[in-house]
Amino acid sequence: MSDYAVLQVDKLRKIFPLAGGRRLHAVDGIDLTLHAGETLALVGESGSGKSTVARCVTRLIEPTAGDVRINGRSIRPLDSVALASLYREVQMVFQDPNASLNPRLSVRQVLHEPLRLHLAMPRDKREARARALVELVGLAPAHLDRYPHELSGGQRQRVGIARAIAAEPNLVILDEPTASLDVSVRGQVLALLRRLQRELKLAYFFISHDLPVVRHMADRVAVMYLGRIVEIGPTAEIFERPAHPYTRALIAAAPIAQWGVKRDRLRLAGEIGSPVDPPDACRLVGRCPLEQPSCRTAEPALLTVANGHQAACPITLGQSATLGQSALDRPMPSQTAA
Amino acid sequence: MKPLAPLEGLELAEAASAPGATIRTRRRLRLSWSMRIGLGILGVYVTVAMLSVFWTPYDPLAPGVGDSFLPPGQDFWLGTDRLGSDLLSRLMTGAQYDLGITLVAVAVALTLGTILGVIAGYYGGVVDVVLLRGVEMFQAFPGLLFAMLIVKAVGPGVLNIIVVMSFIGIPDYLRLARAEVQARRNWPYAEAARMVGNRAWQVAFLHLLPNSIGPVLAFTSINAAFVALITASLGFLGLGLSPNTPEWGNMIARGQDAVMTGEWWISFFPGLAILGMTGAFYLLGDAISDLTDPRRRR
Repeated sequence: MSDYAVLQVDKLRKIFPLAGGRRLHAVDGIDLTLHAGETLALVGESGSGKSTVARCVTRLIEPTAGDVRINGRSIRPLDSVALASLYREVQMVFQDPNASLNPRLSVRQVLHEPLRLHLAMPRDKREARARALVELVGLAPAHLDRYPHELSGGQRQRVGIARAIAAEPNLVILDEPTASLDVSVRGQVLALLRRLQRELKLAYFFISHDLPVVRHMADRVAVMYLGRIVEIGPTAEIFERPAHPYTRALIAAAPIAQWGVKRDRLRLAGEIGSPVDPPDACRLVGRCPLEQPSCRTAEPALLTVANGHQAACPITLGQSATLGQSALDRPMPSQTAA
Repeated sequence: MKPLAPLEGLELAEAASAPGATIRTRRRLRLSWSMRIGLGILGVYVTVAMLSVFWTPYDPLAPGVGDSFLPPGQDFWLGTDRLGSDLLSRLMTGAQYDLGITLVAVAVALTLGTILGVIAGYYGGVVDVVLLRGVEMFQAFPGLLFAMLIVKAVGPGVLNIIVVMSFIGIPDYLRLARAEVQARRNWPYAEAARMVGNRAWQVAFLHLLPNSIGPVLAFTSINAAFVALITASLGFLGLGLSPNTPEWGNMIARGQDAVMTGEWWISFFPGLAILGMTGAFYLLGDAISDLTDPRRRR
């Protein structure tokens, strides 16, 4: 792992205009950096804007504002030809392998496409490489002749992964790659992804709502809520010393199969809020048990908790002059006690 | 004995007894029959049309090859008309006109309409609005009225009829292809296709079009039946081709007075020919809609 930044996201914003002049702030000014060979997880509930980030970062949809750099090159001004060449460097594994594979293409055709279009390989070389790819992802050469509907969910996702790594990108965006898979094959696919990361020196931008999986896969975690990053830091830090109430609630909601672990039982009221025309306030207002009047007056910025660990909650961090006391009431998350 | 064998047998037995399996088998059988009958009838029409280029029992355009109003019999199998022309020869030659015009017009409408529809559906925005409003203007007129107006304006002739018929078909193909492509435009496999290096037009025409073409192809046969009917209607109204042309609509018109006096065969056989052709197209349409579903392949 080096400090070379594969992906830099700077004040990225995606706003969808709605009927009646209202605006849906799907992604509302986020900053992220992903280093070579690293796995950065982006976690959050459905509707938090995770997948929109993934699509903006690859310009599958056009960002409203902000900048995205992939291997140092800004992707915003690229025309369609330059964009096609960018996709040699960044690839995506989609959530539902059922929907991300063209039902009319055999596995062979799926794998030949990036080799032909990105690498301009002649047919015999493509075939050799396609064979190597299916074996690399744990399928047999016989699978090359199959169509998606003849494969199981896990096999389809392996094809999706093989397609993503075919043109040898250094950044792969994993958009909930195991969310639509059976639990029984989830572990195999995750193990495959880790192996490929090691062997091919890939950086992963891992989008997920599955915390145990994130803990297993990620080097760093960014927690997203209603279009904002509310907390970001090394995986162990985030899971053992979560600072933001939302992160704490998210971790508290995940089941733990371990006896005698005392848990941080912070709970949020209600459901995820609306990203339509958000007010200039903390987005957790109305749900947070630690809420103070100051939470409603300004959007909190990310504050440093520890080295590389930031959270957007002045209340728990005790950095609000009048409200320092409430941070002390905060029960210590006690994963470490086990 | 291999330990796996009984298990495999069990799976097969289960699959066979599942209600879904029987229904699907029955359905496929029925459809393959409509395919066979449709293709069979059209095969006869195509054969007759091609044969008539080289050989007909009598000269289809010559009057007086027999007496007037001869009923179907040994010398003239389908009888003769008022001018004493052989009806069978005229009917055979008519296949060239009716089938030829239909097939060419459908092919042109299918090609242009689908291309425009894919463009409208994939690119959306202004392109979509302009194309859609454009074809809506044509669709505001009923098909036959529109055809009559245009043919009246540009004059009769096979080429003109083909152009008019194609134009009438284009809006339907455009709308169908547009709707299908639009529904798939943001599917992950379209996004994936872009990420493996396809340009936008490649995604639209190489990835989305093949998955969208099923309903469009199924519509071709319905469109063909429609075109055949309108072509015959124009002929019947005396707008399509010169009056002596052995086009089926023309022939029905020529025999319509005779029906009153008992010479039914002059209008009946061309009518039957039109019915057979349109029927065959409908049968095919039914079958094609099923064939183009990729999950049914293999």
